[in-house]
This record gives sequence, structure tokens and C-alpha cells, in this order.
Amino acid sequence: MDRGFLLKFAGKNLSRHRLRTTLTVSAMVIGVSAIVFLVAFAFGIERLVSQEISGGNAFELIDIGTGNSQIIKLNDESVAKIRGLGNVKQVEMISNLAAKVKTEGSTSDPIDVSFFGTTAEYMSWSGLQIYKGKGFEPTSPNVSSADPGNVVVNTALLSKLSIADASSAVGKTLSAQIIIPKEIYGNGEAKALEEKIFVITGVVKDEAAPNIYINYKNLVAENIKVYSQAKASVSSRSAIDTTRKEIENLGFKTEYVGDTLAQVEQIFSFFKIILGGFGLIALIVASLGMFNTLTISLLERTKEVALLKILGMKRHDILKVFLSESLIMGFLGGIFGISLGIILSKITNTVLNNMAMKSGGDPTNVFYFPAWFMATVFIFSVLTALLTRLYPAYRATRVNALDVLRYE
Amino acid sequence: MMHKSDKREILIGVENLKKDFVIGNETIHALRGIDLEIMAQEFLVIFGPSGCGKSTLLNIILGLDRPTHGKVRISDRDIFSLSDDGRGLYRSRKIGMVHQMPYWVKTLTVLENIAMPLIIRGLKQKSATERARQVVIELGIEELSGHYPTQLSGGQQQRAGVARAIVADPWIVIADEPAGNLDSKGAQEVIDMLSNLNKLQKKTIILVTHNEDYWEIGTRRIEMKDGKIVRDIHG
Repeated sequence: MDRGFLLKFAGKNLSRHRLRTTLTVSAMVIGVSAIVFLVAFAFGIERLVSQEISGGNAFELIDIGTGNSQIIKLNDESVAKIRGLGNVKQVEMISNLAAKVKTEGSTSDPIDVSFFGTTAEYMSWSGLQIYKGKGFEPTSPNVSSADPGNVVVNTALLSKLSIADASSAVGKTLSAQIIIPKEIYGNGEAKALEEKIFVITGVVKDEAAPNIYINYKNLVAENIKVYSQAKASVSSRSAIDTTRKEIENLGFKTEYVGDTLAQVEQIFSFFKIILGGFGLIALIVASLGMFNTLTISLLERTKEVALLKILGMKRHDILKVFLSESLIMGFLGGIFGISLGIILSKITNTVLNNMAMKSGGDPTNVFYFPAWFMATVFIFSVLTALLTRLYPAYRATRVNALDVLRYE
Repeated sequence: MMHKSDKREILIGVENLKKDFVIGNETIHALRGIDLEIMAQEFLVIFGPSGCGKSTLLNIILGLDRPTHGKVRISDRDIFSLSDDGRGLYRSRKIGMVHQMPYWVKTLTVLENIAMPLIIRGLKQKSATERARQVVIELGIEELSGHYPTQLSGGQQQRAGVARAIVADPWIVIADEPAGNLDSKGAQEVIDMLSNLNKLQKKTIILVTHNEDYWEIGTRRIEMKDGKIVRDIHG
């Protein structure tokens, strides 16, 4: 049977009972939007927690260290070996130094801070997002010659230095004496460098302890031979276990934030099921209503079905006529349900952000809509519509045309 | 093998057809052994009072009801050896039906309804509609095309029903009391239409009626009484 005609026919049948169709689709829209709203909320919270723990792509990162080993060193040679592993895409390093810091020209005592030589990628992978100003450029061969004195600081350092406004900190200069610990310094003993002036180019939000970050390539001249830690990004999450073993075989200790996040994920899976369950209840109630409506609508159309049978329409074509109608309803229910869910989420997010900002918090997204989830909800809504119509449609194919004629 | 173009060819053969209905403890013998050969290009009038078995015979010929005994042969094959869908295919290809009460798909226009048998046969909507338009022009009812069936009078609906019955170029058009619910003018228009189809287009027509007025218009006339054929007059 001509599919174009089938859809047109289904559309005309639905528009014949506009109010009924609108109410039936509306019930689906409410059910679908409830699922989208509630589960997107669970996804959003999970994402926020994951970002808080790690940073965006933590599931593809392995933390590498030497533990307490005096023999194994994380240096350029061993990093090259790690880079050479099959599933490793990129390796970024960090050197943990220390420094005594004060604002330039200040007469007060310098404060002790952690001073990290690292890369923009490492910071990003560690969840350190630039809050004000800008970070240092991603690693490139020329970076060591550019802006050697630029640093990124955290808000904890600004508090210690009594700089209240993070925006005003950008461009300010610091005086710092870097101390290289013996584990890192090439000669095997600690070294205090000469005091030097650094310009703050960016600020990251972190209130834990005062930290300063500098592009580690700017420290090349300081004879730093060993890195404190490294992070390796792998090609896919499935390659994590293999790659960890390979790195550990080189003598290093590894940690995977996914171990922690897996527990978080497990908790949130449960949370999503609970919230999705509430939405599902709404959809089931809507489906029962649809089932009832569709069964009644079939009873009204037995004469039409009998006519189609007398004209020779096959059973599966009659089934198609009815299922096309539910396909359209499922499609509309899915599209409008998802749209309504997103709109409600946006409104709720705006309200929550306004409340958060009034109490000094930062705006954020508490809803998250993964594409696969939206596609699943859409397919689910279409399937639900088809399922609720399957039995009425099957009954339609069993209509005895002769009984209808006799009754008439 | 039968060919509908051969004038004296048997299109449908009915052999010793019996149909019983059991109601409670009582068995009603609606058909008591009907033998009938429907020939190409006939205008067959089946006449009889209500309850004589005319409609039961038609329903069995259409494959909508099963006989208690006997066969309905088409192309040497008993139609009851076919599946439900197979009999549906037989109806859509071989038979056009005009009912006493016109049945319509109310959401479709008259033209779309007329095209329906072709769409059911698998034609694209465009081709089916073109053919339907051709038929309504031939029958002189093109002004009805764009309306919905419920907007038409009884007579107009029956004339549109005839168009739907012939759109797929069936072997036989079966009209079951087509004028039963019409006024005399409307009734005459529908009967004339069927008569012209037989005379001009050589369509085989079966007209089932209890109205004696239509007895004479057939080229063959069968009278039924109590489930039997009591008269079969050719010519």
C-alpha cells in the first residue's frame, strides 16, 4: 500500500477527532516531558559531581606517579616510553615545586605556596578552569621564549594576598622565590632560585590552598629533570585497564579517577532509575488512557474496517492503517514531550541560577541532555504509542465484515 | 482458463451451495442446493422476497461467508481454499460491490474513496486518483468528486458507489438492492447506470432485488424462494 497515502489517511483520521487526538497526544507529551525533565536533572547533577571530582574527560585519563620509589623516575625518557604505548594519545606532566611569594613591592612577609610547573592541558584535565583572565597557551615548541614570567594563580592565593577581586588580580605582579626540591632538581639536592617577578595572567577558582601555576617549559632553564606526576589520556575508556597495566609494568603507580567516579555513577544510575521511574509512571498512566481511547475509537470504526475488508484490504494493511496513526501520535508526543521537558528544565535552571546568584553562588547547568538519552526517549515514546495501539489494531484486523453488514 | 472477454464464458461457478444457520435448537436452511453459472456480459437479476437467501448467496459468492456445503469456483479454484487475504485479493480484483447502504471512509473525499480499491491493490495514490477521475467523468458525476460522502444525497452516494465498484475494472459488479433506500428518481438513475455499464461497457452485472419492477431489465433472471432457485430465465 502506498506509504504516502497511508500517512495522509492516518493524518486525516486523526484530524477527524481533533480534540481526542490532542488530548491523547497531550497525555504522552506530559509523560515524556516528565521523564526528560527528571532524568536530565539526574544527569545534570551527576555531571556536576563528576566535574567537581575530576574535570570533563576524567574517564579517559590515568594519573601516573612513582609512589615512594627512589629508583623509578618520571623523566623525559620514561614519559617517551609511556607516549609510545598503543592506546596512549597524550601525556602531560607536572612538577611540584614550592615558593615564597608576596605582591611586588610589598613589605610584608612572603607566604609559602605550592608552585607548579605544568601545561594548560594538565590543568584542564585536573578540572582547573580559568575563572578570570586567561591561561597559558597550550604547549608548543615556542612557548618557552614567550612571556616567561606569566603565571596562573588560584583564589586561595588571592585571599592570602588580600586581593578581594579576582578580576583586579589579572595583570598584577608577584615576587616569588622558587624552591626546587631535591627529588626534582637535577643534581639531587634542593635549590632555591633567585627572587623573580611574575605577572598574573589568569585565576582559577580553588579555595583549598594557595597555588601558582606556570608553564613548565618556562622552567627548562632551571635544570628540572624529573616530573612529580603525569596524566595520560587514552584513546577510549575501554583501553583504560590495558593501558594501566602497561604503565604499571614500566614500574609506575597509576590511579584512575574513574574508580571513584564509577561509584558515583553507580549511585546516580540508581538515582536516574528512581526519577525516570516517576516519569515512567506518568507515561504508563498516559498509555492506559491512550489504550482506552484507541479501543473505543476502533469500536466506532468497525464499519469502515468492514468496508476496507470487503474492498479486499489485507489484514496487515489494516494493521498498518492503525499503526500509522499511532506512529504519528508517538512522533508528535515524542517531539513535543522532549521540547516541553527541555523548556521546563531551562525555566527551572534559570530560577535556580537566579537564587544561587542572589546568595553569591555561580550560575551552572543542573540539567544535562545527552543526545543518546534524548534519542532513546524519542524512540521509547514512538514504541509506547505503537504498543498501546497494537491490540486495538489487531482487533481491527479480526473484524468480521459480514457481521457488520448483517447488523446494518 | 477463463477470459472475461469471451462472451459465453463462465466467470463464477456455484455448485450445490447449501447454507444452514443454527439458532438455538433450530436449524434454518438459508440455501438448499444452489447451482449457478455466471456468464460473462450477463445482466443477471436475482429476484426474491426478503429471507429467500439472496443476500446469503451474495455473501458466499463474495467470499465473506462460508457455505455449509458446496463450492464457489473461479478459474477452476474453490475460493474457500484461499486464505482470508486471498479472498480479499479475489474481491479486489474480480468483483465490484454496490451495497444497499453505501459504506464510506468518511475522512476521505468521494474521489479518494472511489480510488480506494486501486490503492488497496497496490497502485500509487496518484495513478489511482487519475483512474478514479477518469471513471467519474465517464459516469458523469465529476461534480461529486471533491465532496465528502456525508455531504451527498442517497442517490448521489449510490452513483458514486457504482464508480467505486467499477474503478478497478472488475469481472463482475454485484449490486445488492442498490435502489432500496432511494426515491424513484434516484433509484432509476442508479439502475440506468448499471444497465448502461452492461450495454455499453459489456460489464457483467448481478442485481439483487426484491422489487419486481427491475425483473425485466436483466438479460437473465433468476427467482429465488426458500433458499432455492425456482426460475432461471435467459433472454
